[in-house]
This record gives sequence, C-alpha cells and structure tokens, in this order.
Amino acid sequence: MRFTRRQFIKASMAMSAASAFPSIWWRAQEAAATLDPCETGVNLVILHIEGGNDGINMVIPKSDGTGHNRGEYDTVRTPGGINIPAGSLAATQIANDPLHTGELALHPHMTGLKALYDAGNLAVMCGVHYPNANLSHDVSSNIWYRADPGLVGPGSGWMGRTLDTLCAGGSSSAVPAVDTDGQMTPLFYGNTSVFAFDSLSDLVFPISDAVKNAGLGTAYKDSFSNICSNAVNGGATFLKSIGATGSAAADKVDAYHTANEALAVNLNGLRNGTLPFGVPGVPQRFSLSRKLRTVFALMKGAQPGNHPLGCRIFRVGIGGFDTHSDQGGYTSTPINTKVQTSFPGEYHGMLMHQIDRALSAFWADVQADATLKGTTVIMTFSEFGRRVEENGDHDQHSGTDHGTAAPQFVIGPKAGESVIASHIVGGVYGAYPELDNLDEDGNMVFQLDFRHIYGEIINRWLGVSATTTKSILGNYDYLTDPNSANFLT
Amino acid sequence: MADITPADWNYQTAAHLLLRAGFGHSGRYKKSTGEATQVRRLANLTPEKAVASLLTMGTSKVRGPGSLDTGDDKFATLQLWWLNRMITGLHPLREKMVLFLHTHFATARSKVTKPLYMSTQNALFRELALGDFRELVKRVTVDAAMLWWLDGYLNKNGKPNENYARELQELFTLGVFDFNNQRNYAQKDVTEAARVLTGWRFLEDKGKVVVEFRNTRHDHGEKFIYQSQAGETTQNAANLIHIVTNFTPPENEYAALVDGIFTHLDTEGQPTAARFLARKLWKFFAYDPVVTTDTARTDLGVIDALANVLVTSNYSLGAALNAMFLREEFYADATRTVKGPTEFVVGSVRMLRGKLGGSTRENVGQDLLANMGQELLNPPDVFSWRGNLSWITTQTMLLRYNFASDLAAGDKSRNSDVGHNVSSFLDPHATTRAQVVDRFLTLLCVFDIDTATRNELIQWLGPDDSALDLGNPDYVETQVRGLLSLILTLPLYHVH
Repeated sequence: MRFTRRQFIKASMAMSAASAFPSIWWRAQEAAATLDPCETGVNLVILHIEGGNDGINMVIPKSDGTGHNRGEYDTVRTPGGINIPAGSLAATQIANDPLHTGELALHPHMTGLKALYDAGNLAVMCGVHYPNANLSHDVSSNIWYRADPGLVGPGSGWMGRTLDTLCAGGSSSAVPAVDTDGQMTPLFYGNTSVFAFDSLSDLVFPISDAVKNAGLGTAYKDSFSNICSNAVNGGATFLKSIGATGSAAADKVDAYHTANEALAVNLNGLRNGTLPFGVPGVPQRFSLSRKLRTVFALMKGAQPGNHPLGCRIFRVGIGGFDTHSDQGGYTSTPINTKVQTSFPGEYHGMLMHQIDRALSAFWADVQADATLKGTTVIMTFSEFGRRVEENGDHDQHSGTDHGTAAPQFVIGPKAGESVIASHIVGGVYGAYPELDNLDEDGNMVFQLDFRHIYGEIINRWLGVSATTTKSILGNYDYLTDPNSANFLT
Repeated sequence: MADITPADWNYQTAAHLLLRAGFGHSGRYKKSTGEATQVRRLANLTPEKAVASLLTMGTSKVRGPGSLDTGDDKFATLQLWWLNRMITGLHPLREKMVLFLHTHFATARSKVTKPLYMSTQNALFRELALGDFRELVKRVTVDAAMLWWLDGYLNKNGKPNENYARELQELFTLGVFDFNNQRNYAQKDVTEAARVLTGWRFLEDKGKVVVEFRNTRHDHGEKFIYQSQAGETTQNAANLIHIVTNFTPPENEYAALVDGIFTHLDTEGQPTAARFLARKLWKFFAYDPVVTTDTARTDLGVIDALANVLVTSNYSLGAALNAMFLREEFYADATRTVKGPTEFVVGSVRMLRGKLGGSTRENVGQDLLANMGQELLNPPDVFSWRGNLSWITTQTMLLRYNFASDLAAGDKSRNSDVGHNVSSFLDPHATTRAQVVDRFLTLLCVFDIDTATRNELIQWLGPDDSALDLGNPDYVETQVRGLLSLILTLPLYHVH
C-alpha cells in the first residue's frame, strides 16, 4: 500500500496510542470542526538557558534565615568577584524561602520579572534538579530533554512524547511545535513532525528565476514534492526524514511565510533596532528577543480561523551561560549606561537583563493581543546550576564551575486571566538549598524534582490525563511526590 | 565483519570512498562515458591500493591567513581559505581529517575572537591529520586557542578552573560513560586533573602568540587521578595516575596526565580512549555504530577492531583511517548517513567544478554555511555540531535547496556558480531524456535511485523524448538547469 505524503504523516502520528483528549481539545473541535487537535488551544514556550545558569545569582539570598545562606554567600562569593550585594536587592525582593525563611530576591536587573511576580504571574521554583546529578552539559541537557535522570528510557523527549499523545488521531499534517534553533533538540524527539528554524524570512521555497519565468514553477515544485513522497514511502530512515522534512518545507513554508508577512516586517524592525517590542525603552537587538518575536508571530498565525500553521509548543534557547570565567558581579553604573557599554564587569548580569527584557516584552505582547491573552505559559530551565563557590582569584576573572540545582521560572495567566480552568499561582516554591550544606563535590542538594514541574505542565496546562502524564515521565508520579509545588491549579 | 573484497570493489564503492574520505571526486570526467576520471581510476585498483592512494601524502605545515585583528571579515578570509582548500586542494582527505579534528576539539570564534589563534590551531590539526593522536591531545592541551576557549589560562595554583580538565576527559579522550554505561571518571578526577594542568597561559608579543608555562602558577602538590573511591567499584585500580609532589620537570606534568589517560581501561577492561576515538571516527566518516548513546550496544565489533588498530599503531590516525576505509561496513547501505552542510556545499561545488561566489567574503565564508547550521571555526559549543539527523530541519533543508537552486542556475551574485556552461556536462549525442538524467546522476554519484524518482526526473525534461531540445539555449537554461537543481535536492543526494 502506498501512502500519500499527508497520509503518511497522519499514519505516523497515529502510531502512538490514542488516549482520551482533554476537554479543551474537544471544545475546540466542536467550535471549529475543521481544526486539528494540534491546531488550537493553549501555548507553551520552553526557554532553555544554555550552558548551566548560575541560579544562585538569579534568585539570590538577601538575608540569612535559618539556612545561613546570605552569610555563606558573602563568604564564597566576594565583592570584586561575582558577589551581588544585599543592598542592591531591595527593588527585586520576592517572598521568603519557604523552608528556611531567609529573604530572597531576583537579580537586580530582573525588574520586569519582578513586576510579573508582583502581579501574580510568576512562580519561582527553588532548588530544582534530579538525583545523581551529572555535570556534563550534554548528558545533563539530555536528562532534562528526556525527563529521564538515569537515561534508561526511550531516547525520545518528554515534549515529543507529550505531542504524540496530544496529536494522536489528528486529521491533517499539522506541525504543532517549533524549535527556534537551527538544529532540532532531543526535547521534541518522537513521532510527531516538528519544525526547526530561527528566522521567518528564511522560509521561502526556492525556485530559480529561469524556471519561474518559463511558467514552470508549479511543475518544479510538484516534481520536488513527488520525489520527497517517494523517499517517505520507500526510503531508509534517513531518506524518510529528509523526504518528510522536504515535504513539510514545500507544503507549509509558503503558508507560514504569507500568514506572517506583516509580522515578519515587525521582526525586521526589531532586528534593526527601530522597533522596540512590547515594553518601551531599551531597544532589544539581542537574539532572545528576536526568537521570542518569531514565536509571537507564529502564535498569531496559529489562531483558530487562521490556522495553516498550527504551532503551540515552542523551544527557545539563550546561550552563553557557561561562565567558568569573567562572570562578573554587580556595579552601580546606571542601567542605560550599562546597556550602551555592554555591561563591563557584569557578564552574567547582562544575560539576566536580556532574559528579563525579552520575557517581559514577549509577555506584554501576548497581553496586548485579544486572542492570545490568557493562552500562554512560559517555563525556563537550565541543564544545571553552578558551583556555590566562585573560582579563581576572587577578582573580575572569577567564574563558577559546573554545579547542580537551580531555580526555574514559570510565567503564565493567573486566576481569571486563563482561557482554561487551570492557571498559575504566583509565588516561591520548593526550598532554597543550604549553601553551607553541600554534597561531597561542593554542590547544592536539590530540593524539587524537575519532573514535578513537567508533571504539572503536562497534566494541568496541556490537559493530558494524570495516568498518561505518569507514563510520559517514565512512571514518575508527580502527584505523590511529597515535595509538591502546585504552582498550577 | 571483514574487509571489502576486490570482487565487491567497483565504480560505486570507489565513488562512495571519495565522498566519505573527502568531498567527492575532482569533477573531471570522461566525455564519452560521463564517468568521473578519479572514480574510475580508483575503481580499477584493488581496494587496498585505492585506499593507500588517498592516504599517501607528506606532512603539511600550511597555515591559513590570520592576524590578531578581530572582526567577521577577518574570519571570513580564513574560513573561505579553508573552504577553497577543501574544494580545490590536492588532498581532500587531509582537509576532511582537519574538519574531523575541528569537530572533535570544537573551538569557536564566538569566544576566540582573533583569527591567528584559530588559524594556528587549524594548522596543528593539518600537521597531525594522519599522525599520533596522543601527541595531538598533548599539543592541543597547550594550544593557545584551546587555553583561551576552555579557560586553561586562568587555571592556577590554589585557584583551579575545571573547564578544560573536564572536557579533556569527557569530549576529547574518554567520554562520560563507557559502553557498559558506567562512569569513566568522577568529579574528583576533574578537580585533580585541573590541578595538574595549572600554570599554562598565552600572551601576545610582536604580533605573535606565545604559550608559556609559569612555574609559580603551577600546583606542585601530589595528585591522584582515577583513584578508586570508598564504596565505588567501577574504577579499575590500575587506572590510577599518581603525580608525585614536585614532579619534575613540572612543565611535563600535563603530558604525564595525557599518557595516563590513554592507559585508562573501562569496566570491560578495554582501552577507554581508543574505543571512544574509534566510535567518533566511525560516526564522523560513516555512521554511529551505537544506536542510542547511553544504553543500547549494537555494533561494538567495528569499534573494537578499530580501537585495536589504534592501540597497536600507537594511536596513528592514518593507520585507523586505512583500517576503517577497508571495512565492508564502510560501504554498506545500512550505514548511510546524512551529509553535513560543509560536505554538501563543498562536494557539490567540487563535483560540478563550480566556484563559491557572493557579494562579500562574509556571504560565502560565514553566512552560507552558518545558515545551514555549520559555520566553520564556529561550532555552537564545545560539544560541536550534533551531526546526522540533527542537520535536517525545515530551515536547513530550505537553505540547502536554495543553494542547490543557485548553484544549478549559475547565479554568481548569490552563492555560487557552476563555473561554465552547463551544456558542457551534456552528451551531445544524447537522444533520450533518460540519457541526460543518468549522466547527471553518475556525475553527482547518485546511485540506486528508485524507478519512480528517476521517472519523475525524466518527466521534468518533457512528456516524451521528442521534447528533448539540447540545442536550444532556453531549454538548457530552464529544463536542464532545473534538472540539475532537482538532483541536488534529491533526498538520496543528501546522504552518503
């Protein structure tokens, strides 16, 4: 039996066992019978902070509490090194450490996220990681992507498995997710087609002028598509992948491009620095802003009634966090001057600023859009945190080596804002690891299992049943984990 | 599990060897048959002689252009220089090996911002491309670009920086896990190795880069690497590297560490570094014999055979390549793998005898390959490019199609051009569409094409053979160049 290309994609998606769809999908189906389960509903943006983020300098102990954390912090992270002074933290203070009562604050450059925190849209998870930490970037990233601390399960990603569940029984060749880096990460490995690209303007199917002018453009594209179908139907694994990717390109790309042309203009404006997006003020020329702008454009394109696109899950990365050296501390230079001079002495602070600006601008864009408002959750993660004690001479060249636990952010609509019953409850969760009570390698002891965060997201935000969520997480039952968070109701 | 036999050696296997052990044939072909002359010559030899002919070359100390000036354009000059060596150089295998070593010891201009550092490292890879890998690891350890990239220059007595010590073991020699899924080393081994590596730094003097060892920055204390820990059973006691207090001369301590690492045995008693390198060589040049990285073990046979060659030849890369290129697995259909962007671009330009063009050096040297996911001298991180299936995304494939279209159309202003009139590839006596199609397929080393796809290409040239109009320039510009473009986008063309 020969499949057509579309049938093949459908068939490959149907290979994973269909389970009961959450009510949100059925409601959407009823409202617009032509929509695919993949093609509407809520959105999720996963931000990978790449290289191992120094979480201690993102959510910072402001006072001791019973954990003695500020005192220990000042001992091992020195002024002139990577120390963020307690005195600079007043404006970004959040709730106390739930376990040890010490005061906590976001990095002083995270004023945008502090505003989201105050508004009840930001949940801060402290001390998140997994048992038997691995300090390799690659291994630990894979553990996070697969939600598999022992790397003993299937090689698929936790989101790949989630998509296989959500999109099972789909009726078209919807592509429900985009990895906004050029290369596909294992997060999405599974049976469901996922796009990977970082710029909308690259999305045009190329046909030479000579062929176009001779009126043969359509014939050329047809030949190309048929050849891809042949590979999908009969080729070896790699050929199938190339064929399927080629098909998706020829099929979907022009639709993406057209539907988002207006937004692509905005994207260019952002790139040139002529259009600050979301929040007024500092122009956002850095790549995370551009990527999130692309995500925004794609989310717009995926709205019901305008759905050639069908994306709702996005992975976005921001690199540069492997701060073994020259990590920087905090200077009192006004922020505008810092922006102009690229944050001398505050390398990690600059990255914190970029995350803050980009996320709050993206959030503001989503809020300003009548149809997207209340549909979107953002979660951050990093493959690991960093060593508690700074390395080197306790000077401007000091950095931190690989570590373990780190905080995670989840941003989303609170009660009354969400389009579905589930919503974010802002606040501080987990427990801040005791900085003077480390493991044998000088690293923090994790407090909250990362699969718990995934579990709430999969079950409560994406609406997968608790049973299936448990199976997606390799039989880890987040509901029975005593260190629960409940940041999503 | 054997070497390829002369009976199985033919035009197709010879073409396959040239694709994998380089970037395809030289683009010269015999007018009457359409066969590439280089492929035919190899096919007429025995496999041993064919492989030996590729490996026969002197040592090269050539270094690309690079100064201490920073800037994209300065790097573009170096990147373009290297690309052109791959395209037109006499020893594409050498440049392929330089690419492997660059992938292995991934160092990026994103941090090492001065071309001289990168061109010096690139020249080191070229010099030892077929040489002693242990020696290369030692040279890389005190290479200025590497000291900069992984913070070795900040690693000093009492203030260790673990960055290089970790990657040396994880990525350059041992790997985190062995094939039995046991850890090869512990965090303490990283810390101890970092102490061994203290004292090295680089400085610039009169336009040159100098690497020096500073005795006062070195930790002269006693170190134990791979010491069995209490309650831990996986580390082989014989793996212990013991560096005595006041080791002399202290500037050779790093070499003792590297030698020690190469005697490390995994929990199956096999040479860890040799197995690790063997797998990486197979993975880069052919396919990954291990299906999933962490648990499944599929084809340890080819890995151990190559590891054995490495150990008995004192880690000669040339000997390893020779053994690998002769294995029958190297030619098996099942081991097909996705061409990387460099392999795709360089191979296409080489085999069509085209030229890289573009309005600026940055267009060609950086943007073209960067957008396909592989800017040379700028891997995404120390893990390098992930390779294989990760090359294939909608975006990167579109950019490959774009390049194919430009190359076939001879659009010089964009990326490239075929260098001369596409008609010169044609057989003037061709009377059928199939002849035209087959000639291009042979030229571009596309074999085993399925009938439906071949028919699709034939149909593109017209509804029947009477439509063939090779004397008509318009027909050549649209249909023939369009055919070339379609072949360059065939899924089959993107694997080798």
